[in-house]
Amino acid sequence: MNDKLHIFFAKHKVLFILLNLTYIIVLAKSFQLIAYPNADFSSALTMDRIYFMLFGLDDQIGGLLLTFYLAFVAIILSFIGGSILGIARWSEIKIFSIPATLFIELFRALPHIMVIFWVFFALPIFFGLVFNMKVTSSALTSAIIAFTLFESAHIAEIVRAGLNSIPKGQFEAAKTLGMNSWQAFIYIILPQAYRRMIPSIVSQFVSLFKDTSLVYVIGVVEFFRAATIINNRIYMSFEILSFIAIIYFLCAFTLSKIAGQLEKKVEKQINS
Amino acid sequence: MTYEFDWMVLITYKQLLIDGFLMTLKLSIIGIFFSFLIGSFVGLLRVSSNFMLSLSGTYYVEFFRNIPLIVQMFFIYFSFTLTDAFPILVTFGNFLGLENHNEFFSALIALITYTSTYVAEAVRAGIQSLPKGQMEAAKTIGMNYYQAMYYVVFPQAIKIVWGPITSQFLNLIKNSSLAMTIGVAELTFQTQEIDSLTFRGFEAATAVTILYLSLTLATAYVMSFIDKYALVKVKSEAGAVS
Repeated sequence: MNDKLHIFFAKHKVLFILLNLTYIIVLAKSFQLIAYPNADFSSALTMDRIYFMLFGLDDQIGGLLLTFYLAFVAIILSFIGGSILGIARWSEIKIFSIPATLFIELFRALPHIMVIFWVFFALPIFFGLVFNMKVTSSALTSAIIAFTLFESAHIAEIVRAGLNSIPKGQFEAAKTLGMNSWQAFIYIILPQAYRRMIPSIVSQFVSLFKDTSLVYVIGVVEFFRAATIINNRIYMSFEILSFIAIIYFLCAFTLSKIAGQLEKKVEKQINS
Repeated sequence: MTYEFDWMVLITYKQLLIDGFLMTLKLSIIGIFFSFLIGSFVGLLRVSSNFMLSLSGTYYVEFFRNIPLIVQMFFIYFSFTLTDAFPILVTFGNFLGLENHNEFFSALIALITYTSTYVAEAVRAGIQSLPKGQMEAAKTIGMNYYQAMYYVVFPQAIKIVWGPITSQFLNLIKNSSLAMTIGVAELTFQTQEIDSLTFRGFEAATAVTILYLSLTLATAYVMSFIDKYALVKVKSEAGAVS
């Protein structure tokens, strides 16, 4: 019976998706009926509230759009920072590898919310103390800096793992062709390592996308903060919070499925 | 613009820091225990050959993994009154010496559901990485499925994925700082408290950072200790079987 179900659903993927959808709708509806029978979605989620949660106010970027903006900017910056840190840690030159290791371990061991607080509250004081200048940074800038800091520490570990996964023979083969160390590293090792890293970086992006909800604490009006603003006004938390949970789920689920597909593709390329 | 450090503030307000540390410790220990328990259970569901069971395991993992932890916490805290729904939590909370039961248990449940998905994935990966012969060999010597799982397959799988599980537990300790957003008085919350009392957030944050670092390092050490001395027996048994 079970084997038959497996084979049947492997053949008919559309039917499997439909079955899942029905299940999810039935489960969600019955959960709502048991837990919160008098939920009123239509009066809680009016069009302008949904618009505010997704796109923010008219004259400034906010809501879900700002969440994506934050995630994209931070992942690009931390990709650069993480590459530098990862290569520095991987290299055997001690002046580079020891500071990089310290940085990575520190930011991996700190709670993300503490990093955000540090950047938002302590960085201006630090700049005033060391460079004797007055720095005022907005909450959005602090958020991007904080994400870049801890996300580059995470990506540096991915980069290092990718570099370690390249067999040593590649380097030696490049050298026998007459390349020097730098050429071998840039033309032979790095491209291969980056191709292997793509899936991990996409899944890191998913986790960064979820982490953007933390900037709630310093007052950036992204998706979660926008939802809590509305919730504070009308106090219909079940409806509002389940709405944002569903949207977060849809985005993160789609992205993680894309990461899974990429992983399969990359594995096929490497093995062939 | 200069800033003068005043480290005495930490000694004046040390009680706040100690309370926060204990609260983080409570969240972490109970969270680690239950997330390991539930995570292993869901991981076993996911590798089950029963189609419906593995599907429900997948549902659990995908659902709780793809929603940010802070959203889960807010959802539980603002939508439900846990102590009304489950009065036993009051007893448990009194046993732990808590004042705000609702906040604590909302944060705890969100932490457990969020972390247990990652533990479940690790357990599933560990079981699938074992050769099928282990299960078959256990069955040929007369064990049923559950016995084979309990005595042969599961301990070996845990041994393999102990590293990833450790890092998930460390993540749980770090994520417990999010509980401050709903008002659980743990370490990060106390930083804000000291900051608003004395305007000395810098010193408090330094102390709390060091406390977090020592907590995560200590946990990593305990986990590697378990790996060395408790799971070493598993390895020798696995060697004898294979």
